[in-house]
Amino acid sequence: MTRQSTGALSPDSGIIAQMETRYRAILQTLQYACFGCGALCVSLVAFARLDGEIGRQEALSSFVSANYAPDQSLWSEERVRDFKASLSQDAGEPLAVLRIEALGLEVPVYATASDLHLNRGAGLIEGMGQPDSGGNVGIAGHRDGFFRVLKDVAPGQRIELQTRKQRHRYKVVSVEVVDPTDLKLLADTVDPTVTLVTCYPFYFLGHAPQRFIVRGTYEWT
Amino acid sequence: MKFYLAASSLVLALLPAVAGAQQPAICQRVEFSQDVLARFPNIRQACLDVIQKGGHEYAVVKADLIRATARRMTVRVKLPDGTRSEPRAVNVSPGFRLNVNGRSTPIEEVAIGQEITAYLHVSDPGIALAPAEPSDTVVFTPVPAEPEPEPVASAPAEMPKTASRLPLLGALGVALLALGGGFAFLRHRGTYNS
Repeated sequence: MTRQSTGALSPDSGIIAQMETRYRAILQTLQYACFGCGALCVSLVAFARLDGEIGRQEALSSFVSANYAPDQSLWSEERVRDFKASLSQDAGEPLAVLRIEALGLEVPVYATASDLHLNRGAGLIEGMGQPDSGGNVGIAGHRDGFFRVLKDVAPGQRIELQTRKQRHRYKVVSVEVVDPTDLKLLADTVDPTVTLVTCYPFYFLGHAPQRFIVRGTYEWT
Repeated sequence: MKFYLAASSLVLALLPAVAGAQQPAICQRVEFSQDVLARFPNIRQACLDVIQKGGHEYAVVKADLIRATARRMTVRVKLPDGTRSEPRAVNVSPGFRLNVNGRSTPIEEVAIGQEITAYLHVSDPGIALAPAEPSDTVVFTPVPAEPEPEPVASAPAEMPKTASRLPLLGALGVALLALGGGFAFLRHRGTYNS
C-alpha cells in the first residue's frame, strides 16, 4: 500500500516484494507439507481402525464357521481326527471369542498379545493359562481399541469365553488399576479365572502409566 | 389361599427329606475306610452309586474339572448342597477316553468346566476318572491326606504391552492439519493485506 501511495518505487521495494513472495512460498510449502503429513497420519489411523474392524469381523465369522460341527456319525475315526486337526492348522485363526454382553464386546482372542493380534482383537498373555486348560487366563487388549468398553465394566457382569471345545462363563469380581510392575493379579490360580488387561487411563496419549485389570471367576453350571 | 400356603410349606419342609431319600441306599450301607473318610468326609452325600470292578468297590461321584493338562486332571467332587471338595489331582494316560455329557470323549478334547464322573476307592484312598466304556481299564491315583498344592505357574515377567501408537498418530495428524490451516490463514492474510 505504501508502495502504491508514493507513486514511485523506492530501491528497497523490489527487495521487499521479493521477500514477501519468498515468505508466501515458504508458508505455502509449510501449509502443503502439514496438510500432507496430517492427512497421511489421519489416513493411517483410519486405515488401521478399518483394518482392525474388518479383521475382527472376519475372525469372528471364521471362528463360527470353524466351530460348526458337521454330522460326523457316518465318518471314520481317521476322518474325524483329520477334520479336528485341520481346525487348528492355521495359526492365524483365533483360539476363542471373548464376549461381555453388557458392554457389547465381542472380539476374537488370538494366541499371543502381539501388535498384529491386538490390532485384530485380543490376545492371550504369554505364560498364563489357556482357556480350556484352567488356571488364570490372561487376555490383553488395546485400551483405545476393542477394550475401551472396559471402562464401563462392573462387578457382577458376565464374561464369556467361547472356545472350540467349551463355552466358559466367568463373573466379574473385581476391577483394579495397578502399576505395570504389579504382577500379582497375573499369577496362576487353582480355580479357573480370567484376567483382562489393558492400559489406563483410557484416554491418554502415549504410553499410559498404569494398567486396568478386570478379574472374573468361573461360573459353574 | 391358606390351603396353598400350607401345602407349599409342607412341600418345602419335605424337600430335604426327599433329597436325602434320593441318596442310593447302597451309598449309606457301604463301608468306607477311615482313610477314605478322612480325605472325603462327605463321601456318602456325594456318592451316587457303588460299583464293583476287579473285586473292589468304588463309589461313583460327579466332579467339576478345574484344570486339565495332558497327563493330569484336577477335579473338585460335587456335593448335593452345591459345595465342592478340595481339589484332587488325577493322573491320566494319553488315549484315555471318558464320558462327557453322554459322549465318549478323548482326554485331549476335555475342557475345564465340564462335569465328569469319577470313581473313589471304598477301602483305599484313590480316585480315577470313569472311562467311556465300562470294559476300559481304570487307573487310580492315590489321594494324599492333605490336598497337594497345585503346581501353579509363576506370574509372567511383565505386563503385556497394550499401548497403541494410533491415538498419538491421530493426534499428530490433527495437529498437523491444524498447523497447515494456520499457515494457510497467514498466507492468505498476507495476500489480503497487500
